Amino acid sequence: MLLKLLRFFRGSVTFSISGRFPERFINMATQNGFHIWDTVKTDDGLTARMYRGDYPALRRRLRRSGLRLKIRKKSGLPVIIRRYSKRLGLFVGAAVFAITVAFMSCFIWSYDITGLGRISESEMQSMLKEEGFCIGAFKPTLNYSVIARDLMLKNEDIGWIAINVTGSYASIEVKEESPAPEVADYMQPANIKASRDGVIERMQVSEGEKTITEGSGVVRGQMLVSGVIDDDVGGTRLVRADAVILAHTEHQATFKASSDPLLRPTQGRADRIKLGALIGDIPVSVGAVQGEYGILRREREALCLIGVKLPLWRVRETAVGMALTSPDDNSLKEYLKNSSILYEVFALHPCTIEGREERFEPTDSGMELTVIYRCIEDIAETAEIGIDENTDRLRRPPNDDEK
Amino acid sequence: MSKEKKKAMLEELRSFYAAPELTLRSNRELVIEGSRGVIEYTPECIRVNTADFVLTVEGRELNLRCISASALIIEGFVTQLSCTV
Repeated sequence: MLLKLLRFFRGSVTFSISGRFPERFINMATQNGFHIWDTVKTDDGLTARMYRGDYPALRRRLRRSGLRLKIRKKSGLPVIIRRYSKRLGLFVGAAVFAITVAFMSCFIWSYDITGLGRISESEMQSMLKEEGFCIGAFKPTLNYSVIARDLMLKNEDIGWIAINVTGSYASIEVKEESPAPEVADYMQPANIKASRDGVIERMQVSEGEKTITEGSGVVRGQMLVSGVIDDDVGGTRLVRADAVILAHTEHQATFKASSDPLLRPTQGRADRIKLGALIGDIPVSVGAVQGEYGILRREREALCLIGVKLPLWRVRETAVGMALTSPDDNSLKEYLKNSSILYEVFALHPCTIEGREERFEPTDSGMELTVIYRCIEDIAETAEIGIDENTDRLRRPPNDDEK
Repeated sequence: MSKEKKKAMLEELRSFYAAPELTLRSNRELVIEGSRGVIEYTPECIRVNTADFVLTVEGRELNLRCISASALIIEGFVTQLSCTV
């Protein structure tokens, strides 16, 4: 391969020799230090190749031998340069292209982050930007190991990070720190108490002794299942009570809505598309919305070519016109209903809602919604029995007063 | 050791290292180091002059792939090698 490259750069000629005893030519050429290769015997002589620069000297020496030399083909870089020497623009273009590619490969064009869980991608991007790592960053100024170390020191959630740069593309691999799992102390004796007021529907006790019966009304903090068990011989045994106590409970929630003028979206909406690059965004389509206020949503999507991210992106901007309007009763009710639905989804997700009572009341500032939810839920709450103090007291030697 | 013995040993060593070296890779390629010239060159037979003997390479589609002052490479199907002293 190296030899082929050398021959290409020096240039070579393929020539044919005709006449009697072409072997004489081979011996003469080799004795004079000419390098010959690809020698093929033909009917009237032979063909061979040699370096382009050696050919004139060989031709001079062969004049007396009676052999005839004829060039069949010229090849190599000098031939190409000679052929295109008048077309200077080609060489200039090639040189400019090579310099541009070499210069542009000194920047980070795109990067991907993998392995994120608790940390969001935008958070990671902003942290990287603080360290100077972003699209368009000059590679020679970046120290990847220092960036990775600083990120790990600044953010405790990052357990390990690696920045692998291939050309102008960077692949950032993140392993998040795993929090230590909470280990429940299953040996600690405990009672089960009520976490809310309610009426017991059903009790499933797997450990402990019931202190109430099904159908009883209980208040918050009342003991439901005891962890102290009396045995047949008059002794006691401490256990960790475990039970599922399903009870009818009530939840009350109040939601308020103000009738002050609010910014609300109008019918106006416009989409704009831009083509983004490092130098800036170039608008492809334009659009605008009427109105005093507006919200602009901007989405950026990197363009890919055969799975490779390009340093170009498509920006989609959606402008929504906003107007300052006073809400009417219906819209206030709708807002309050939506708030109550969100409350059910997020605050009452462990409960089974059996029914609800809703009451809308106008207030001075707007409207108020009071909802009473009737639910069935598990009200068992583990309350550990404090035996440590007693144990410590027993172990401690009695003081003078105690004696 | 006498001077004559030393001279004889040196001569022996010199002739040993000046002897041509042949490397045959299967029957497809023959490298000859220490050649003094090509006497005959046809696709069926190549005769090469070395310091001590004339090497005759017989075969089919024989080509001189590369030639330099002291070495040459013959490629093709080598069927017979013979030395003529």
